Amino acid sequence: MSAFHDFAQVLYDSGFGTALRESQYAFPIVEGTHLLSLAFSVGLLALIDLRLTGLFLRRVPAAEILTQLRTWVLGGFAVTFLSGSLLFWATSIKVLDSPVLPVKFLFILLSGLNFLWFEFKFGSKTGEWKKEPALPGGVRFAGAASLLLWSLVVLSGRLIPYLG
Amino acid sequence: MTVLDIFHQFQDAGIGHALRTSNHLVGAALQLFHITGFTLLLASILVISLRLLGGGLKHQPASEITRSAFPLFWIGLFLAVTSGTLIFLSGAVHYYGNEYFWLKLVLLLLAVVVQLVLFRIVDDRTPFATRLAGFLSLILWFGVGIAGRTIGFV
Repeated sequence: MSAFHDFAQVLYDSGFGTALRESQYAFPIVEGTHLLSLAFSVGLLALIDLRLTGLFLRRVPAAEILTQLRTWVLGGFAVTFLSGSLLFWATSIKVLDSPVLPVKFLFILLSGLNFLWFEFKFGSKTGEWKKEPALPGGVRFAGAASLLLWSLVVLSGRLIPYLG
Repeated sequence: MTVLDIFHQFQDAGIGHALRTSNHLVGAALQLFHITGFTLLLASILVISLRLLGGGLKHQPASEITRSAFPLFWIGLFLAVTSGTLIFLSGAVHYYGNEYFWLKLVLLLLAVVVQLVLFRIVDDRTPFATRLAGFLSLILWFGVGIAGRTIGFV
């Protein structure tokens, strides 16, 4: 953990980290981007998850939702991760003081594992889900797990300034 | 009695006062409801606007997507507005002097009007009105989000 702390200190003290932290416009823009890109990443994925669990858009084929929204969701996650990494670069030591940060990282890891498991197990079959409103149990479970885990990522992230 | 007097009363009496003097974790909890609500709201708007503007879900009728996403939109709006009102009441005077707070309110009003009025005419037979509704809705709701985030920075 101390090696990670040293790494965070290097980031925090770096020229780029300092400049971003102290800039009048760049920092708010990066933070605003991190927040609003959530609508594309976690938000659209939540709607996909709600379809997989069968709670939402039951009349729209799951294959359609998965393929048509995929680019937007992946693009959204790229922006969310990039802006989040920049925020960590600029505020690393400060946010490491918060006990919620490791919790957030843990939920990101679990969300990623759930995503990989879904892709590995069902990725090649999504094109077949055209007619049936209800999907196999494993798919519904992966959708519910994704919805829960990503929600916890966002909620724990929002708590960082409040706990610590 | 001026608007500022009323705002003073908001935060010095009733719910506003109770929130103002409560544990800071109550404010944190309100922020959690707020971010959940507006993320759900913006994602529903995205799905609808992507369909109306031709960016996705092309094989489904626009009216079908709009109808399916509206319940989530309303749930998101309810969560965001309820928590947002309570956050406002706890610090009304602070928000009174913030120009982005007023900008956010104006954009919010326009966005709700677009949602209630323009979406009545969304139909696969009216392509121009449909695209206009999708475009305005997208710009206005994300504008509300940007103005809202800016409140905390000025």
